[in-house]
Amino acid sequence: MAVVPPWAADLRLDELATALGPGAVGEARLAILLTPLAAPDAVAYRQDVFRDLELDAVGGALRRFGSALAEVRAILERAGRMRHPAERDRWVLDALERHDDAVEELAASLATAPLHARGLTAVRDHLATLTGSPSFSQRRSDVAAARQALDRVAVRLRIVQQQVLVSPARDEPDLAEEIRDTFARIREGDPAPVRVDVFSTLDMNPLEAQVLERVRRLVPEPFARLASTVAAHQPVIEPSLARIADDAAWYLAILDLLAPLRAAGLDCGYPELTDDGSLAAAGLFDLVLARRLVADGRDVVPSDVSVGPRERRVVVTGPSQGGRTSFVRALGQLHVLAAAGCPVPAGSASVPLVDSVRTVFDRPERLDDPGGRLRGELRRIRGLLAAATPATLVVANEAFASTTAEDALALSRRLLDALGERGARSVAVTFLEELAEDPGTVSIAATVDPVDPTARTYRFTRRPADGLAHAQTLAAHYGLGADAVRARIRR
Amino acid sequence: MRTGLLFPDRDLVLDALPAPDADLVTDLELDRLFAAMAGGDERIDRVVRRVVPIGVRGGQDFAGAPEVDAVRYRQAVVLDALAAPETITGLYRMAVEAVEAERRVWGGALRSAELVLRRSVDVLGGLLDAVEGMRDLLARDRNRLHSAALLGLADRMAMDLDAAFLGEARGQLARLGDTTLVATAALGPGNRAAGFVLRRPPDARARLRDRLRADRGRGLAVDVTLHDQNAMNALAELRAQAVAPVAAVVAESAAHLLAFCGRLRDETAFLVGCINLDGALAARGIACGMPRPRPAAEPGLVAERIVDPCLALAVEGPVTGNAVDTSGCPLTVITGANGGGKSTLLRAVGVATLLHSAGMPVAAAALSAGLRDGVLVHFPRSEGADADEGRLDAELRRLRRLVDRVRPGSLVLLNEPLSNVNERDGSAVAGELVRGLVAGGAEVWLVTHHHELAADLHARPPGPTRFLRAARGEGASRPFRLSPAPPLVTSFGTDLWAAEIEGHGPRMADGSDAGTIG
Repeated sequence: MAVVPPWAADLRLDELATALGPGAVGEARLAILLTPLAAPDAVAYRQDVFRDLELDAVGGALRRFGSALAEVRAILERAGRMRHPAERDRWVLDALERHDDAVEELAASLATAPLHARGLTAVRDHLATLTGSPSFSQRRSDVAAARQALDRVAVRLRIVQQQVLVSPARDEPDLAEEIRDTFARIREGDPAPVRVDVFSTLDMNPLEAQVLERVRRLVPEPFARLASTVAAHQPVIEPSLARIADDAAWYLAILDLLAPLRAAGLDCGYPELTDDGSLAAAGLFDLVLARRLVADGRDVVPSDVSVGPRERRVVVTGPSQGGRTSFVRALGQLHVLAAAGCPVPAGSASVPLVDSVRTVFDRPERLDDPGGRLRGELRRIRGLLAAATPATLVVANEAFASTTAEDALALSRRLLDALGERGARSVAVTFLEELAEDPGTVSIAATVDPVDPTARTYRFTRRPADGLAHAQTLAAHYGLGADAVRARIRR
Repeated sequence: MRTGLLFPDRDLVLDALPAPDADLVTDLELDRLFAAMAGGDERIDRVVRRVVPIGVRGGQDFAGAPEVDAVRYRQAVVLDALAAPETITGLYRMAVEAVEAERRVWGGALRSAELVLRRSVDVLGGLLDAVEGMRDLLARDRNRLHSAALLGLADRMAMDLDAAFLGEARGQLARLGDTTLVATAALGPGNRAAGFVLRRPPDARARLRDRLRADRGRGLAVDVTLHDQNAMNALAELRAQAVAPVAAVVAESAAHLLAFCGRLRDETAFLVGCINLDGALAARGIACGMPRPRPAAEPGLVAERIVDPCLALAVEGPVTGNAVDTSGCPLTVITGANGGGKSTLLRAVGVATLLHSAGMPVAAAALSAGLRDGVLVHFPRSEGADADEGRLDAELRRLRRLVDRVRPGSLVLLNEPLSNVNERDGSAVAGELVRGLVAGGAEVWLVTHHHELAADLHARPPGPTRFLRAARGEGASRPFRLSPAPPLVTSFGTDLWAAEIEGHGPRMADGSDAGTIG
């Protein structure tokens, strides 16, 4: 995915790419997250896999398997560039061992895990078949035998002037040990270790190769066995397992994304799907903002929301800087994640399965567009309306801000009406409180702190818009409201 | 091998000690003390700056009251140093030289295995010579020493650095000069030779046998052409891998011996500092003595002719000492004339407490006090803010930081706290502070001009309290004597102003212009 779609950027979901994986990997994983599933059964399939992976026994096993495969790939990639067969084959042998260890470990972990997801029981069965096959055990024993033979090789090198003499090792005193014994009595504490640099080429140099060749002549058998074993057991990585690891990595990346939030006490539950357009969420929060707040050790204020089956038009009001945009982003994210079969940023939720989430956010215009912001905005809305279906959710944020309030009110009504005609649901943030009073509209507003009416609560509930205007609220925020000033003076 | 000269249970590791409390150094003018101890030697200066403030305390955070036994241990070694200064300065000089020589050998930053080995062999050889010299010095002067610390060190060096050890060690170093390397290796990652173990070079007979085998088994030798630079580099790499484990061991052994010399250098640096300070104070005729350490339980201090050594080191001519007796008093309140020696007495008490805790002689003809859990000071500062409110904020923050560090048994010296604030507020805030500190178990010495504060503490003392008053002397030549007396309602600043600034002598006799309160 080259570019994150604009609606996803408006919901700040673009910021998740780097959290999901490095570079293109993260982008590809985000793309899966942003693609709604078509059928409720597909959502249930993924939710089941997520639930199983949340068990440490299952998630941990697939995590270890994924990093083992990555390691194996890296070893093979490096080995492919090597010139000396004895060096290259030894690396491939390591890769074989690492790979087969990982496969066995995964098979064993899944065999005993209480799996419920269809996706994972299939993996378990596949692994059981694979590890139970005679060819797999043959490969394991061949590799182990080759390795043991190599491990037993021990040689003596005598270096005199320009000559290296290779002979079998014999029992001679270890000089380092002798010196350590002599000086044992003066040791006290742990002085900083002395750095000893051994400069060594990355891969085998010609002298090493020549020495190795003498070693091979001295003890030919282990080297012959190495070559035949490596040749006999290709490819190293079983292709079906590579696909399993990649799929699991997506699920695990999503869970990792949510882990710090859950650790901070923010529940992320699995939503139920509704088929009547109704929506309910308890403990809803903006996933992306919460990640930042939690990382900074700050509090996140979740909200509850409930919208009935026929209530397809929601208007959100409240003081600016009061969390309105985050609230509607959270609503949008809720739908996107639910449609991808993922846990959602809410403790519990029931949501309709959307075919798309679209946005009408104020966006800076290119300078060479003489028609200005309004025209661009309307053009985008035209495309949006053409694609809207009853399964579409539109999130609007201070739409038509570039025009007069009267114009904006009229245009907003038209937009919301048009969406209503197409059966699409809409959530709109606005300072135009009249919109919240229109018939058929659910009004959601920021709650008021009963102790300090000027404080921001960042919590939203269903209630009428209450007329706190922009400038007044801002003044109150800085402690310049009439009551606050008096309270300060009296102190 | 342990050094153990300053602490009964451990060696001095200078870098592990906390940096000295900057307020303490500034307010008690400890720079003068440190300078007298260092006598121009930077190393001694570094050591005493760290060691004097922590005294004999150890542990995780160098907190807690000093142990009586630890102070006794330290006092004994300091007395040895004062009695046998040539032995201690000799040890110090030898340790300094040994460490310096190591630095000369290392020089560059290159640490290839063969270089490390060659240099470590040189360093280790030099260090063996150096510690042998120290061992001999301690053996020679042994009959002049009495402290457990120095006798223990002499014994340990005699035992651990005996002739057998030195002979064996030197023999091994000589063997490492051989250019023929014999090593064993296994097959490591990528079948490259790994797990090198350097073997003791074969003796002459085995060498001959090796040569015969070489002749027989030509096919197993690899010969490198001298002109092939890449191959020569590869050969050097191979040699380096073979010697690396031994290089590490030799270098590590050298590091241990070097660390020993470093610790001995730092510990003797402190003792040389004590010798220097003793000489400097003696030259000014200041009476010094080693107080008997007592546990902290009993507050207060009894001293005769106690002086502030930092002041004594800074001025020409004699310095008047004070007699003080605050035994049993967790609170001492000092009032009276400006320039009357109030701050000086506070400093004298603070420095004496520090030196006592460090097992050093104190500048007093006699002194008896419990060991205190740290000395904390609050002296006037230009708080670095213009507005009054900012200054008050800054001072309160400073006091808050101080209180955070006070422990039961700490000595807290409050010199004119909250003097920037009006008397009423300053008295109220400082009064609460003092009462809180005393209630928390600290010993507090308070100098104040806030009359209301002194009067309040006099009327309602938070516990046994001693009131001292700085007397107004003849003109500007104050006698710097403080005697027990309740606070007066006025101070003498105007006198001093008149004397110092306007050039008049004092007009009134001591105390006649002010009634006592209480």
